[in-house]
Amino acid sequence: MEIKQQQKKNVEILSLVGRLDANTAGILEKKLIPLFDSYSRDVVIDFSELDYISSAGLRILLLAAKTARNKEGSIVLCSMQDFIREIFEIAGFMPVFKITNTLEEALQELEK
Amino acid sequence: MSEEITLGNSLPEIRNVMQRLEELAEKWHLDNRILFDISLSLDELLTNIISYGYQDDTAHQIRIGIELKADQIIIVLQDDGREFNPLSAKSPDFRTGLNEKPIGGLGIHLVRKMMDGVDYRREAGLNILTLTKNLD
Repeated sequence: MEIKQQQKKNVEILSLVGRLDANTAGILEKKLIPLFDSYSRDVVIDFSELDYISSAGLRILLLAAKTARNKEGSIVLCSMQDFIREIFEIAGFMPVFKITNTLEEALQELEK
Repeated sequence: MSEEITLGNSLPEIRNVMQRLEELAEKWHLDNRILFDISLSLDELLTNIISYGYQDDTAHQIRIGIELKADQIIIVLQDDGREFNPLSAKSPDFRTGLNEKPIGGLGIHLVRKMMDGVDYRREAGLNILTLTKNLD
């Protein structure tokens, strides 16, 4: 998996490319969790180029949601392929995350 | 038609299994949805076995038998790790709020949701898990 990182205004955007599984979850953890070291960070995770996710990846996202909440940060997920969204549904993650269809909507969500 | 895949107990080997499954799906003309459900289920189970199943540092073999029937795929997963019945793992309950979310059991929960049948038995020092996926 590759992670592309960019900033728009004060929002950190991470784009995940490839497969998020037990082999690659650590890469995301190292990049994502420290973003919340400073208070009230806004983070968008773009799933448009993610082909696969397993529970190892879901765990990191859950950890990120908890960390964000403790540090008054926000996290929005966007542009998921249908089968990945379905895994979120099966996992019971829908109430935990704000998920939008596009990156633009994710950025608008954070402006609210 | 049936195939067997063997792997050692290291996490990077799971990727080879995923590649073999992709080849098999092509050969057997399985649709992407079935391939995804089977790949994710095996990924979760193999990750558990390799991460928690062994208490020594020696190499172990994990065997996967995959059989294509007219209306089902049957997968038999065998490992010689410590006795573990994945069906005994509690499914996580995410309704209780973020703080209470138990992390364990999530992978098994996904497997149970994606497969049509999951059956465990312990036999001759092996964990034997049989997964059934209906083709429709």
